[in-house]
Parts: sequence; C-alpha cells; structure tokens
Amino acid sequence: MTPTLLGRWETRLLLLATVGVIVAVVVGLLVKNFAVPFAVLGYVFLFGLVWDVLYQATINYRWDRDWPTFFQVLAGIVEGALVWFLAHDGLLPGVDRTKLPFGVFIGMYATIWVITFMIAQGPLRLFLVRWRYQGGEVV
Amino acid sequence: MQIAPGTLQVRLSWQDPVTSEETVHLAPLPITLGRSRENTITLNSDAISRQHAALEAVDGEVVIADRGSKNGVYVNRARVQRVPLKDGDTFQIGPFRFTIEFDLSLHAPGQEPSASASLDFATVPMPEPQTPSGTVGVSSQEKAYISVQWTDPASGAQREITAKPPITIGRNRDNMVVLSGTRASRHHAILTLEGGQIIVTDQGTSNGTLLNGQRIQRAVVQPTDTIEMSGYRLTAKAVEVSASGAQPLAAAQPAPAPASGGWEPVRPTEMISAEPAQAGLLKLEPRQPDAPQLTPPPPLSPAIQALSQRQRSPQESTLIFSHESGLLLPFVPQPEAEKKEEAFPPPIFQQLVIPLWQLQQSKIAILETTYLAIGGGLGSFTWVDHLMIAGVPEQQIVVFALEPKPHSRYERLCNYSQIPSHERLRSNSDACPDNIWGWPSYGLREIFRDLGKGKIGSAIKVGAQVFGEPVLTDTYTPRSSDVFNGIDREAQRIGWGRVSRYGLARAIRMTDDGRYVVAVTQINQRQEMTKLFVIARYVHIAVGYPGIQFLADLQEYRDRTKDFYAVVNAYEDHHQVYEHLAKRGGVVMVRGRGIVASRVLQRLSEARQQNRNITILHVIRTPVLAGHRDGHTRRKVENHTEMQPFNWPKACAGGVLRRRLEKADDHTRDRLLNDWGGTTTAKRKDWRQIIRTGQREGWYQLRFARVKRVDRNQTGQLFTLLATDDRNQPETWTPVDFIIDCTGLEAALDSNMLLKDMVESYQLGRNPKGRLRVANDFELTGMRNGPGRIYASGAMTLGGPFAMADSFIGLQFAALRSVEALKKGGAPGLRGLGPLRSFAQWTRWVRGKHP
Repeated sequence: MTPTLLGRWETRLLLLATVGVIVAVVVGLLVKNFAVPFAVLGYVFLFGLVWDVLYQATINYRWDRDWPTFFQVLAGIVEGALVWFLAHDGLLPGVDRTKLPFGVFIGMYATIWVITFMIAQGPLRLFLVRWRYQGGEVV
Repeated sequence: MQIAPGTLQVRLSWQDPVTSEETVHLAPLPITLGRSRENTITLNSDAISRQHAALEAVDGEVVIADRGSKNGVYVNRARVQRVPLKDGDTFQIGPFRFTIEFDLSLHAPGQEPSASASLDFATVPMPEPQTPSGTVGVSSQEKAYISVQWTDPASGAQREITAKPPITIGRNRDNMVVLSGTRASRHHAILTLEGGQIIVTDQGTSNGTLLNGQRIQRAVVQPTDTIEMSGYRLTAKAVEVSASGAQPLAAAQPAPAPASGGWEPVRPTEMISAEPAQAGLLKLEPRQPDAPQLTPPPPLSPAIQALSQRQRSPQESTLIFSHESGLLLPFVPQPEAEKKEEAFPPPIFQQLVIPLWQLQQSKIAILETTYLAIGGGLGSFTWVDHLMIAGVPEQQIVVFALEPKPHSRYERLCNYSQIPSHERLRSNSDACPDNIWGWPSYGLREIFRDLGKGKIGSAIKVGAQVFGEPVLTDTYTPRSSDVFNGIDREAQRIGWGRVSRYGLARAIRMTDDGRYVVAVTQINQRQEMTKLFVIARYVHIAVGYPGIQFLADLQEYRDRTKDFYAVVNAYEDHHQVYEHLAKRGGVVMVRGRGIVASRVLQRLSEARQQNRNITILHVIRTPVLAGHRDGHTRRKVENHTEMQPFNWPKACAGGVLRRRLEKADDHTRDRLLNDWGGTTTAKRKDWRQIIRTGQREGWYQLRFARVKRVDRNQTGQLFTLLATDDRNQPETWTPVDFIIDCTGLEAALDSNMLLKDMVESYQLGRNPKGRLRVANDFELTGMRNGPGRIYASGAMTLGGPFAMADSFIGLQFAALRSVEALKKGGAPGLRGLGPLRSFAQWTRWVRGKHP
C-alpha cells in the first residue's frame, strides 16, 4: 500500500464503521453488554488516528513511500496491545475491565482486524475504483 | 554450363507484415520488387521505393540487386547493393522478410537432383518477354499447397495461411499455425497432402484433435470439414498457388544442373572473428602486436571523426517501428523523394478546422463513430476496457490498431529484451491491464493456480513474497505469460476483435461540427493501400514508443559497416548473440545499467552454462556511489546501479508522490521526475548472485569508461576504443565479439508523424519532457473542439501528471481519469463507475461475461 494520511483516516473510519460495528454488535449480543465492545471500538479508532500520523511520518523515511503488508501486521499487533494494556489497567474511561476478559477482547479485536485487513487488501476496490490511486482516500 | 539469364525459377515466400498471412510466389527470373504496379511483385508500404530491388540470374547465380532504393535491401541483416543468394537465404525489404528457395521440385520425374552441387537448381524455359503474365497452377494434376483458415479465439480475427505442406500446428512458436492458450500441445497436429487429399494427423496430444466433433488420430479432411483443437476451429483446403509470369510447370523442360558458380554467401557470422577474443579472465590491455587478427583498426580520418562526434538528431540514432506492421525496421526509413500520385491526407487537411461538406466531397470513404482509439496497443485496450465497463456499447467504439493483439508490440519487445514467457516482468502484482480493479492481483491468481495444481510449496513461496515484500523478500512480479494470457481473455470478453481493425492514423483535424476527423490508411488483401476518413467526437491517442534509441557511436558504426550481427540493441531481435556465444564463446560488451542490462546479464549467464568461455565486459560511464536523494531518503545503490523495485518509487502509482507530482508545476515536475526516475534496476537475488559469482570467478568485469569509437579491423575483429575521465590513463583498444546496447527506448514525439503534425499544426506546446501536454485528466486541452475531446495516455505523456506513464498502472490510471472526465461532461453511453455498478461489473468479469 502507498497510503496518504487522509487515506489512512478515511479507510479506517469506513471499515470500522461497517465491519467494526457489525462485529461489535455480535460481540455485544454474546456478552450481553454493548457499552464495552463499542467503547473498545471507539478507542481503537481514536488511537488509530494518532497512530496513522506516526505511520505516515515513518513512510517519509522510505524511498518508495510505501507501507508494506508486513508493517500493517506489526501495526495491528502494536495497536491492539496498547488498547488492551490501557483497558486492563483501567485507564480507558467507559471500559469496565471486569466486563472485558482477555478472550473477549482478543476475539473481537482479531476478528475486526483480520476482516478489515483482508477487505483493504482487495475487495474494497471492487466498489471504489479510485481508492487505490488516491492512497486510500474514499472520496 | 551456364544458365541463360531469365530461365531460373525461384520460390519466394514472405509474410504480410499486417495480416501475417504467408504468400508464396513461384516465378522465373528476373523478378522485380517495388511499390510500383509494373513490378513482378508489388509491395505496398511507405518504406518501399517504386523500383526497389531485382532478382536476376547472373553467371549461374541468383543475385539480388538494389535498384537505387531509399531504404535498401538487407541480406542476413546487412545492407547490400548486389550479392548472390543461396537456397534458403532470407532478405528484407522494408517490413517484408522474404525467403528464397531454388525450387528443386521442378525436376522431371526420375531425374534425381544432384545432392552435391550447391547450385543445383532447375530451370524452366524463359517466358515470352512480351506475353502478359498469366496465373497458372503449380501442377495441372495435383494441388501442391494447403490453405488453412481459422479464427483467433482471443481477438476474433480471421486468419489464413497458404503454404506448402506439411503444415505444422501447435503452441510452439516454430509451428506454421501457432495456437495460443495452454490446452494446445507444443506440436499438436500436422497437415499433409497425399494423392491430392489433405490428411490431418494428431501428434499424440493429450487433448486431442477433433474432425467434425469426432476425435481422430489421422483422417482425410474435406474442404467442408471442421478441425478442432484446444478451442480453435480450422478449415483446410488444397489450393493452387498463382505464379504470375510463370509458364505452366507441367510443361517445364528440365535442364541439366548448372556448373557451380563458386561464390561464397555473405555470412555475417564469418565477418566477425570466429574465435573468442580471449577465453577465461578478461585482460583489457591492448593486444600484442604479433597477433595480426587483433590489430586495432587504423585511426579515423578527421572527416569521419567529425561525423561521429557531431550531434545526432534523434532520428539518426533511432530504429523506428514500421508504420505498417509495428515491426522494428533494420534501417532508418527516409521519406520517399518521389512524388506520390495523390497526397494523403489531402490538401483540405491544411486547414485546422475542416468543414464536413469538404470531407463528403472528397470521394474518400467516411466512417463515423462516437469513440475512437488510435494506437491499438495496451493504452487503447485499457481505455476501451474502461469505457465498456463504464457502460459504452461496443457499437459506439472503433479502434485503429497496427497489430492483431493489444500486447503484440509489448510482447515482442519483451522477447527481444530477453523476457521470455516464463520470466517475470518489472510490474506490480495489482497492475493488471485485464482487470480495472486490480483484484484479484496476479500474485493471488498465481497462488490459487498453484494450489489448484497441488503445487503447495510454490503457492506458499508466492504468498510469502506478496506478504513479505519488499522488507522480507524480493518484490513479487508477474510472469509475462500470465499477463498476456489475461489480456487475451479480457480481449475476448469485451469483443476487442470486433471493435479493433487495422489502420494507420496519419493526421487528425477538427471538424466544423465539434468533432475530429482522422485520416487513416489501411492495406487490403491485395496489398493495396486504401484511404479512409474517420469522424469521431471523442478520441484517445496511445501510440507508444516510436522506436528504439541507439547509442550514437554504435549507430555510427552500424551505418558505416552494416554490421547488424555483432553490434545490437537489447530491444531488437538479437538471439543470434546468445546462440553464437553458447556455441563458440567470446567476449561480450554490455553497455548501460538499467533493468534491461540486468536481464541481458542474466541471459548471458544462462548462455555461460553451455559455454564457460563467455566473458562479460560491462561498461558504464561513471561510478555511482550514492543514490538520488529526495527529502529524508536516498535510493540504494548496488554494483554502481541505483535500485528500486519499479521504474519509479511505488508511491507514484497512488500515494503521496502521485499527488505531489499532480499538484506540481512544470518546472517542479521536471525536477521530481529526474529525482525519482533515471536508470535503475530491481533488487533480485538471482541477479545479485550472477554479479557476485562473475566477479569472483573473473568472467564479469565492470569498467567505467567512455566509448570513443567502435570499429573492426581487416579480419573483422570488433574493437572499441575506451577512454576514462582520468587524463593520465591511456585510451585502450579493447577487442570484443559482441556489443549489446542496453540504453533504452526512443521516446521523441517528433518520431511519430501523427503527433508531430498535431502538436505543430495546433501549436499545442510540449511538457517539460518534450512530450504531449496533457491535463490532470489526460485531456489534450489544446485540441478541445466544442463538445469534442481528445485524450492521450502512455509513454507520450511522460512529463505530465503521472510518473508511471508507460506502465500498466499508468495506462489504467489515465483511462480511468479520462473516462471519469467524459462521464462528467455527459458523454453518451457512459453510466459511470459508482460502487454498485463497479461491483456488478466485477462479477461479470469473474464470470467472463461481456460488460
């Protein structure tokens, strides 16, 4: 991928607002609590916006200004770990850590991440022909 | 005994450069060739003079003579004035390549041709000079030729060849009928004539040969029968071949075999040193004076020096693709000085806006269409693909192409520059000319195909590459055969064969009703040029590279010596170099350091596996220790070559760099393109290994030098005079056997007559790279004519908004941009590419349904 900052943000918003919301609803039904899954989803998105600024600064140090697939995977792990540790330490307002066992968190986070990763790798462009030419920007 | 002039019968065969149809001509000597109708064989092409060449019988020899033509006669790649020919020789005139055979079948039954005499050809009585030529059969009893017709399933084009049996059919290129697609066997079937009947024989294939639906091993074919193999349907019939001017062969009187004329054929192979200059380690000092065959050539006269040093115009150091065939001509065509009977485009084209009534009164056929694509290569193909997927019906689209398949020229250049079908292109996994979405990418397709074949290991390898590139592994690139097969499939799906037709666009003008008229010439089946006006509202121009660029000193050498054998450009057909080296070894000089040089080095190392006596001298002008810089980054350098996976940094395709270039002004674009582009090669494990091994074992040497002159001595040994920037170092004459110029394709706009005329007539100006000035949506805004629009894409737009202009992704991007702009402007038939329509169209792509 060769994203732009706006492209990262727009794609993140688009995928979390669709795939992310659906998965959060399913998890909410399973654990009979919607507040925690949606709060986690919200933090993943908000932290992501900041992460994206950092990533975008990094690619300026790469000749090809690209973002290799391998980096995407590393980024996914780091982002997930940060949210988990903050939630675990009770540092995320609105997330009741007693209602967020590790299994639920990792199940929800991994599902969302894998699905959005796969969609961004290809199927998204079947709907948005221009997406790949404009660094992930949707409009 | 000597043969009386004019009594010799020869068989000439050649391929129509346009239709690839083979023509066979049987006639007594003398035979004249040229554009004028008075010739025995009329050849219709701009590169042919009216009286071009003649074949004559002189002192028992068949001699080919140049009749003062502009562009010359080439025998075995060397330009000749007058040389004897041998049975089976080939010669080239303009885009036509002839094979000459001295027909032995004319011996009377029972008379055995002498096996030993090299000049063992039969004679026929001299025809009455004043008798009008008649068309007669090869034999009154037996039809000696087979005519095969079929439809190319990829392009839908009708194909036909007429040739002497046996006719071989199969997937390999050495067959007379080449079947594309993987289901055909390499040598699939063979057609023979027995007792006047055509026999088809299956060559033991796995998928079989069907005759009228029945699988057969060997069967008689009637003219109404259909032969089927791997998706192709062929019909065959026995025919008589006309031989204008020939006497009925049944009446031919055999004459005794003539005495040998004793001539030696011109063989470029023998002209260069037969022995490798030196085996094993390269020694680059001047040779010992006691080795006479290695004496450097005498110094140049001041006049010749001046000639070689003078600034050459692009025209002079360029080989141009034939307008008629798209094939590379072995010479620089000069415009014919002779005045043509009727100028085309006609004088009304001197106006910038032509009233419609003038076109209608011109008595030239007019074709009207809404959308017109000029070029017919990959640029036109991606544009038409986008148009159709966005909703335009094929009835509103016309394409004028020079070759039957959109990838014909590209594929030929790949083959010449040593990328055969199993090798990989320098292209991204998701730059797919056969799929506007770029998904599934080539990498994904390869993984699925490997899995389907049970090749798990190979699938994992590709998967790891796609996943790990470029950090953990080399960058994935697709196999050229996968790309071409995909394009064939997409061409079939969108009906490319129905919208594309042969035609050369010569000039374009605005019309007074907000459209454009294009003057097109076509060549009909009788080799005659026909003229056509095509009127369209929306025009797309993608004509590609006009030719290949030669280093000036090499072109000067070739002009002077006509040695096309040992001094070659990597983009022309030069397989003889590798074959010669594999057989006999030698020293080869590679000039240039880009991706083509890498591939040529790889090919040389393959030849080295057959013959250890190949040494490589890689000459580049200057050392490169640090790569170009841009912002915080610097391009990596290895072996004095800058490295990047593709021709441009990846983000030029769709990331921050694409946007930066699009927003920049002319001056900045020029600077950015210079920083990002230039000569680079890709980091490939095998290429790096070749260089390392070669340096360690001493058969590869990199040398920084300027080539001051290339010449050969009296024995034909090739030398180059190398100089360095260090004045204290002496210039050295270095003997080599071959020189391969790997410096690139010619991209001067002025080499293309259509573009040059348009840019100059309408004063369009040029972009900083001297090419077409296009807007960010690839419109040639200077050509706007009311609602009419002209767009361009490809190599001729480099210097504009998109760096990867000549790449697959660049053609797709330009196509998408122009189609979006057309949609915005309300062009008819366009329904756009919104999310739902786009997805629906993709599902049609998956199912192979017409858009």
